[in-house]
Amino acid sequence: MRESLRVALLTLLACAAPARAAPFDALLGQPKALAAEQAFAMRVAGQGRHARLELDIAPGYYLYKDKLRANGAGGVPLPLDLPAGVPVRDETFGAVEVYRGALVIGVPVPRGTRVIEVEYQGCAERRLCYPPARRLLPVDGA
Amino acid sequence: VRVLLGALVLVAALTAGAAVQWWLSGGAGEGLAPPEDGPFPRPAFTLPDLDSGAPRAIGEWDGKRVVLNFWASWCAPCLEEIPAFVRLQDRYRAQGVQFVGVAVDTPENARRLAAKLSVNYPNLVGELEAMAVAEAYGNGRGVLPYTALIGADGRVELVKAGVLETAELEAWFAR
Repeated sequence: MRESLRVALLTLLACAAPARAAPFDALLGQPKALAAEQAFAMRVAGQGRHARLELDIAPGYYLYKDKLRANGAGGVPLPLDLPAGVPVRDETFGAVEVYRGALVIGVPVPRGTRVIEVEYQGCAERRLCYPPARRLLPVDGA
Repeated sequence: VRVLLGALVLVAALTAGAAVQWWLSGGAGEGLAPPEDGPFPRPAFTLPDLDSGAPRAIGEWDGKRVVLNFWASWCAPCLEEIPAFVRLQDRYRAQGVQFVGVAVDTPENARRLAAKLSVNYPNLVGELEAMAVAEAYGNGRGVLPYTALIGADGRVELVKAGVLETAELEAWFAR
């Protein structure tokens, strides 16, 4: 009896562990994909050499590391201190790195800069991709 | 028994958590469905043919059931669904089904991928202009893949943003 309880418990836990969005997709239909602004939230914190680009990527979405760029006033490229991404082996693109979840990226923002432009491109896992896009982000305290 | 009850509570909590995550991740379902404002006459457009570069108009396939698929070489989910389209084009050609691809891409990139995937149906190509066509077909968010199903009467009956399942297409072919 005790053994069968243990088996039942382990089976239930095994079923519950991967319970993420997918089972609900099957029951209720695939959720509507988020707008790019919601899927890839981003803001600039601080100014000067220690400014940061903060990304908050929604669960189930990812950004391509090699498509992420930032430009300052007049379109001058700002060097991003990009951390290592998650390596993904793609049949078509070969080895690429992607970002998921929350991420803080160092970016030197010259004093007095009011907005920076971020170029990015990402996808919803195994579902759809957003076209390459640009977003203007206000700089804190500028 | 107490352990089992505890496990059941835990499972219930995890399930509820996953449900909340699902709800937070987007709310209402998204599948192959009629356009937001109902079926509409297919918008006319002309884009260069991927192989020849010659302009081709969507009207060329009037009278057929057209699967109009917007894709790009940089869109991994797009490339995942194309092999199924190739198989379905062969299987349903005799029944008046015509797949037409629109690559939102450079001709070079699109041509390379189309050859790699042995695409057996016509493809048109364009960048911003192709995206404008996708928007005219109801793709307001500009996501890819995006597919519009056009009936033999020239009306856009169903659309889907995201990967199309073979079963979804076959259900439409069977109607």
